[in-house]
Amino acid sequence: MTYTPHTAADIKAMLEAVGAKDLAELVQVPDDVKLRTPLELPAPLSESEIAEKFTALAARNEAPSYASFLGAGVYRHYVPPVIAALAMRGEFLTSYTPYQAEVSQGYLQAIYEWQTYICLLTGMDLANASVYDGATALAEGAIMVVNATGRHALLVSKAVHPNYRAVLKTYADGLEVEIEELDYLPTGSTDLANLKEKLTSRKYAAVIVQSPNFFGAIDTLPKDDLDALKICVVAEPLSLAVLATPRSWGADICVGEAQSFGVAQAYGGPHVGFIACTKHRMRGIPGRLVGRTVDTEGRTAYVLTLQAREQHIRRERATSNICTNQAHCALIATIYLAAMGATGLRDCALENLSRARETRNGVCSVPGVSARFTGATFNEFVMRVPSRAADVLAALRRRRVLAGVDLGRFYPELDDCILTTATELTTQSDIDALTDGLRTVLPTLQRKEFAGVC
Amino acid sequence: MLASPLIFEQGQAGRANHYLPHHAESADAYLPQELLREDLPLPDNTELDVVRHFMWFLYCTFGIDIGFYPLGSCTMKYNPRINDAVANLPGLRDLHPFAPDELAQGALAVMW
Repeated sequence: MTYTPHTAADIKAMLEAVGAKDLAELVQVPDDVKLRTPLELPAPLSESEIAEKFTALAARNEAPSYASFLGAGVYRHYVPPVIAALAMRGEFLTSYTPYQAEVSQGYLQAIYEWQTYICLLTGMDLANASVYDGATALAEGAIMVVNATGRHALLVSKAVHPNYRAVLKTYADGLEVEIEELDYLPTGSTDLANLKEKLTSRKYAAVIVQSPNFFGAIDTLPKDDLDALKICVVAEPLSLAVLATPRSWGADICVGEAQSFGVAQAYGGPHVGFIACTKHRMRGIPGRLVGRTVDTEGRTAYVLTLQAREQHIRRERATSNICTNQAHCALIATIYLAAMGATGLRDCALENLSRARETRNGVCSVPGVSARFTGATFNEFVMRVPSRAADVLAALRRRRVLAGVDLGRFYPELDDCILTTATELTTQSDIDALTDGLRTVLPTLQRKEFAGVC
Repeated sequence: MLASPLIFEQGQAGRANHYLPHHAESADAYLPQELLREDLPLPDNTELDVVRHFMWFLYCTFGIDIGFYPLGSCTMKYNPRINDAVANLPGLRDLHPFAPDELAQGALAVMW
């Protein structure tokens, strides 16, 4: 198909209607900046050639055919086909932002249900219509607490996803917000030993942890009031099917990533972030909000609301500059949650726990391999290997096994550690391939000394 | 009346779809009780009820597939379905961002 479908007859009729002689008359670009020679682009392909070209490119991505234990913020979950059957319908794919509520009631209610699902899962009072991804959600949550408290410093756990912390740092640098990191313990959770003492300075807007954290460990803050707000990051929200809500231990804001709910991994995106908070934070929450109201005839209706926080307001007074959301991905997540229901989500979470336990038991039965951290985990854990993680991963890759993420990439002190993830899609033969693989490759690799076992 | 009942106002225990194997044990078989939530107040709806619920939303949502919409530049153009078909090829769709470069050559070639 062509992106410019107008025929010569269409163009002629339009020129006549506006009284112009030719198209050149309508274009007022000064001669000295006009494009004189065509851009050097290859000729257009026919649609069937496009299909052929990209099918060949897709086939060059071999990773999906390997036994994979990759996680670290993006998760491989079962997606029931009913989701695509509904979400790929043209009405959802090609509708615009629902500013004109009268013609958008369907999408508005869908996003209202997304907001409600996020609240039910996190225990919060309200959630917005979504943001780009978990990393952005964290950065925006940080802006919320800085604005709310006037304090320009944050305490952030080192066990928060490194990519999320990198995005947070980008925003923080621009806002002149100082970030201090909290270390992690042998349990895999955050070291809170000196927390109360640090907070007596009253300079921190918030303490930020992720649960389950980047090491897979459940990592919450104490329930008591701190002299700082509490932000909980959730990168694997399937865990909320079984874990106590962040609200239950006093989180003021819960941010995270909802890719696990039916959204494709797609080499990193598009994904979908969520931000949820207690009701006192309502005026400070960024992003779009769908509200429920009644129309002039008293009938229930949905509408974008509180738009003067960021979009229809002076720039200096805006809470945020996002002014958008990930509506289609949020819709996918909403359909997933509706189709799975409480029973499906619990079964899925339990299956994840079960497969992760099988995987962990399997790898820990290989001589030299141990769990690096001792605390409770959901579907990810860190395994320590008796060689450089990068070497072990390369050797397993040659056996078509992707054993996980080399933690040495982000934590130099953990270069003998691999973050390994199992989900409901991890099969027994995947686990066997991993354990047999480890048993075979480890004796062939150069040993790395380490202190202590788990 | 365009609004329909919320998904939370529908459903019943026992209407689960069972897309995955059922687990009779509870989460405390894996995790200490103090880490767990008490209940999960989400509705269970059959797949058919989910389809009808979102089908109603489709009827109440205007998009450029239906007609001209003079708001927003994204609505000024039609995106051909081949784009979605290609993006949904499993080799591209199911690729993890931490896949090693040598096993993601197709995606990297697209970006290049």
